[in-house]
Amino acid sequence: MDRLLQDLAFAFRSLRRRPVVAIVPVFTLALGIGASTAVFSVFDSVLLTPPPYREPDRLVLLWHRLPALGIARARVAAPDVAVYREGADAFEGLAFVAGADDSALEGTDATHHVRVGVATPNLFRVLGVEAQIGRTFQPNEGVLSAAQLADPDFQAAPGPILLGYEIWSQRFGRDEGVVGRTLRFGGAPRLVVGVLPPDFELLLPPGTGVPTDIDAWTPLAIPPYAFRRPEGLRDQDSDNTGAVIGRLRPDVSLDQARQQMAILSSRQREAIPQYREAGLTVEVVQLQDDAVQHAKPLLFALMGAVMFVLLIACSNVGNILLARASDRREEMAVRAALGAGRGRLVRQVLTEAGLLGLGGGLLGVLCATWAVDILLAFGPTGLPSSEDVKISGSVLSFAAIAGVGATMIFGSMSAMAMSRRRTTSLGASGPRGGGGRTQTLRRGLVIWEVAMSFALLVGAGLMLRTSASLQRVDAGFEADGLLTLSVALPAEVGGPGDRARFVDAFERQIRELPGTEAVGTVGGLPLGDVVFRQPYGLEGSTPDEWSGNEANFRVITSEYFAAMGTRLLAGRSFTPAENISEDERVAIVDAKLAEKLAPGGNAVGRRIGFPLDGDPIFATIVGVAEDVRFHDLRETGRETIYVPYRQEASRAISMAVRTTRDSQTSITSIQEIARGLSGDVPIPVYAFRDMESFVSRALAPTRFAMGVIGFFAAVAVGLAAVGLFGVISYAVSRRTREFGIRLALGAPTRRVLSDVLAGGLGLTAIGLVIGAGLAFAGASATETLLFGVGRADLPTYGLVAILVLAVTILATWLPARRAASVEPLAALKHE
Amino acid sequence: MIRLKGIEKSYPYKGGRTWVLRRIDLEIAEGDFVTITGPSGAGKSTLLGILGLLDGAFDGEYWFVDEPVHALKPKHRNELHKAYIGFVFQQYHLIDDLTVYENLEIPLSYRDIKKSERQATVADILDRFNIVGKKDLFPNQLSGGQQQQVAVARAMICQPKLILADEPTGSLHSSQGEKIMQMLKTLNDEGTTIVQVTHDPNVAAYGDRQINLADGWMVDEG
Ligand SMILES: Nc1ncnc2c1ncn2[C@@H]1O[C@H](COP(=O)(O)OP(=O)(O)OP(=O)(O)O)[C@@H](O)[C@H]1O
Ligand SMILES: [Mg+2]
Repeated sequence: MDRLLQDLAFAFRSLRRRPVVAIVPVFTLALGIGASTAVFSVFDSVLLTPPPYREPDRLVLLWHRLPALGIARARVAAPDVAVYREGADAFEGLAFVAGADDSALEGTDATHHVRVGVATPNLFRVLGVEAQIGRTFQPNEGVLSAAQLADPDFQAAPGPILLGYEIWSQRFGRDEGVVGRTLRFGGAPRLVVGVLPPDFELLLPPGTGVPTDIDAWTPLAIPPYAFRRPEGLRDQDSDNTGAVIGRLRPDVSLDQARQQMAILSSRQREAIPQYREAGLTVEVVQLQDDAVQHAKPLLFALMGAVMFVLLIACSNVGNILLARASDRREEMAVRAALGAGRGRLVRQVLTEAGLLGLGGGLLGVLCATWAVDILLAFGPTGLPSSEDVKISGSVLSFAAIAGVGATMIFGSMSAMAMSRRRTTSLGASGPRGGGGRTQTLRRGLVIWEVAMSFALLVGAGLMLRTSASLQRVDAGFEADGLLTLSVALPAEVGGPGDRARFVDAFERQIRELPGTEAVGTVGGLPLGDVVFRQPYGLEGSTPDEWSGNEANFRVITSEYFAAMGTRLLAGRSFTPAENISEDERVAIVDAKLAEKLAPGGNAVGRRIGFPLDGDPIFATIVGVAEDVRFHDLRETGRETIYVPYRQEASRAISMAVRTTRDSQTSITSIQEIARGLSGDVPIPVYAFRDMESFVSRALAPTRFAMGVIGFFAAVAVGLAAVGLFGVISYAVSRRTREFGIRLALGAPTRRVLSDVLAGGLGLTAIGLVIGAGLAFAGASATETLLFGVGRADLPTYGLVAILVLAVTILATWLPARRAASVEPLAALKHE
Repeated sequence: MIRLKGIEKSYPYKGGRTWVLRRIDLEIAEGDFVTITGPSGAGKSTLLGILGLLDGAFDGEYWFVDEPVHALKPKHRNELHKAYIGFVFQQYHLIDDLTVYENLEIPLSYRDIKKSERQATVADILDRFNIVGKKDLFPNQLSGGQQQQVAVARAMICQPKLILADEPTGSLHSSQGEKIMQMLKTLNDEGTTIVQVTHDPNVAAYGDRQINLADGWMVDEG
């Protein structure tokens, strides 16, 4: 104990005398440990922490696969859910989530937009989620019976509603008395039966058409079996299809469930011609696996970046410790010659290394907590919120052990190097050039550091190019000066005709606002989360031939294209008259569809068939619009059909307003207009966005990855430069005497300079070659993140190589300059 | 060839300065053979380093072949050194990582001499110093005396106009020392200017002028 204290005191003193030796490793370690712990923790909470459901590993999702249509995943139609419920006993329950409706909660002072999820009442039982207050739905609660369905005059009692924790906190101040009260949602009374727990969230992968930000839940009033499965058509109407979540029985394995579903799907294929043609199979996947699948490439990229930084940090610590070992070899040799035991020397060096490791580790823990906040603050949507991310103990210990372990390993190596040379290094004219082994090791570390920084920088560069390509993508609309908003029309507005007139009046008032250049309405904005697709067919085809074709389907008003800045390539837009009258069946198609309908020719004037309100109709094409990227900037997406809003007047609509006024003023005015138009039932307008932010939201994950990887890359290059600088300076200082002799023998200064530079560049060159390999491997593993740039993009690799070279030249040039400017005689005295 | 006026050299020491050379005035003409003697620590090596243009940090005026060394930039000074001087260090200063052959070849390669010519010159000098058998050894595989011989050979190899030798025979047996001195004498007769430092009166006798240093001061020039 006494000896330990003495060693510690010694170590403290010797580190204090050389603060750089102490500070650089502590901070590099802290950075490495902090960053890796933070990213690991986010990774952990996204991919590894089970969602707060009962036995979440027994939860599965059902998807339809329609290989003949080239559709890997389709939402399951409601009537099929009834078939699977009936036919499969592998599940304790199958819940059907139809989607969410935008509605308005009428409060005493104002109305608020709420998004109400609609699912079969067994959803919470299947998930195993209990209410925080009150209860969840009872079996068949709020579901109409066969008799009630058949009775056109049946008046249902107020249906139940389950409030989410957030809306309960925000709108009701966590008043428990709200349970049991009847509230009006979008004009309809709803009985509040309970409040969901704070951590509840419906975890679903993208593509289910169910939004994640759901405020409250109501049961699906119509039982799945009662839904229509239209003949010959694959209905994409969001009410009739949805996500299916099942809970496996305790004694049933995933494989057994799959076998059962295989049998059921073969029966489906026999019974239903459209499924036979499409080659229907049912996919059964674990819910959690599936829900986080899409986040994996991004997280893997981050993990890779972070591991590199941790490795670089460790290499740097090793480098500094080894350099220190070389520096102190003389000192150690003398100490040994004066009688210090070998054990004693080794122990002292190790104590020092241990102190550094510990300091770095502790500071790393602090860094980790900050880094998590930073990461999530700048992170794209889809990452968990910061309260949900716990710094996991195992993760932290992993990073800390890695960091401290590296320090100790390099510490022992340097201790060994020191004591190995203790007898020989005192011989005055004895051979020099000792410490060859640590020198080689240090060179290796520098090569490795250069390689990893190069790879990281290439990663950041590829992300930068991706982001630039995405920015350059012609999305088919002009985001500048475009304000968008959503409107949920209450049932009280009336039928389709009334709604069309209402929208027309709304638009007219907005048009009168100063600064408005154009205003239009659409069923779902580009880059929004509305998925609405329809089958279609050419003139002369029969509806059951349509199912192979699927197009985005959008209802719009006449000025929509003008407001969005989407160009019309041929024909005309809809007329104001077509906004409100339904006499003519007209449609506009995008360029992609026009090319399919009339290859190389003019599609205007042709007719196209598609289902409208479930009935097949044919419409005359009056115009061709440019292609619009509806779902993702990365994908050109599928073809699109536009019809006048009047023809399928949906209640959830969005508006596009092109205006020169600032958005806040416009928003206030539009809200006033909405209030003025509201009758008994208020009309919620919500989700105001300037389209630029919509677009940047689509770019957010790429920007985020770019930012994080870029930051890590910068850190890595800095660390590598420090490492290289250290190695070269050390090599130069060891060779000072030699440079002196050479200068005295007539060596030109530039020759000495180029000698040193060549040494540094040699290491860098090897590092770059290895780094290119690493970068390529990394980019291949996360290729889905890239867009508009190849994983072996030569300009990126080239530029990054030049950058790394420039940095290493600088790190080499400084010591080289010093070497070349020595007075020969002074150099010769340098021992 | 060499004119020193009031040369002084000092090192910072305990807040003040410690003087190593004081007010040295000296002229050395082309073809001279000068011996510098004096007790240990007198400043002999220091003076030789300044004469050899290896140390520019001094006060006073130093004219070398009519160039004001005290006013020259290091680069220019190095060029002069390269053009005129061969230097034998007291501590030999061979390059550890190079063989005897390579050590001898370096000065030639820095003067851009063709490979074939270099080979001939090195072979010739190895022969003259009788160390052909050692040419592939590294300095640490040589005895102290052998290292000294290589150091002297290296100073001569470019046929400099001025040879500065700091105790060129200090580690050698007298007969070997004599042989080296004979070679220097021959070179001197052919016109090479030579300045040597020595403690050995026999060696000193080869010179035709002697300079005594004591505590940095020049005393009784003979
Ligand atoms: N870098 C230095 N810093 C301080 N003093 C120095 C330095 N180099 C040399 N000296 C001092 O300069 C003085 C002259 O040294 P120099 O090497 O010229 O002596 P010398 O006459 O060659 O002695 P020797 O016969 O032992 O070789 C010595 O007293 C020495 O301590
Ligand atoms: Mg001396």
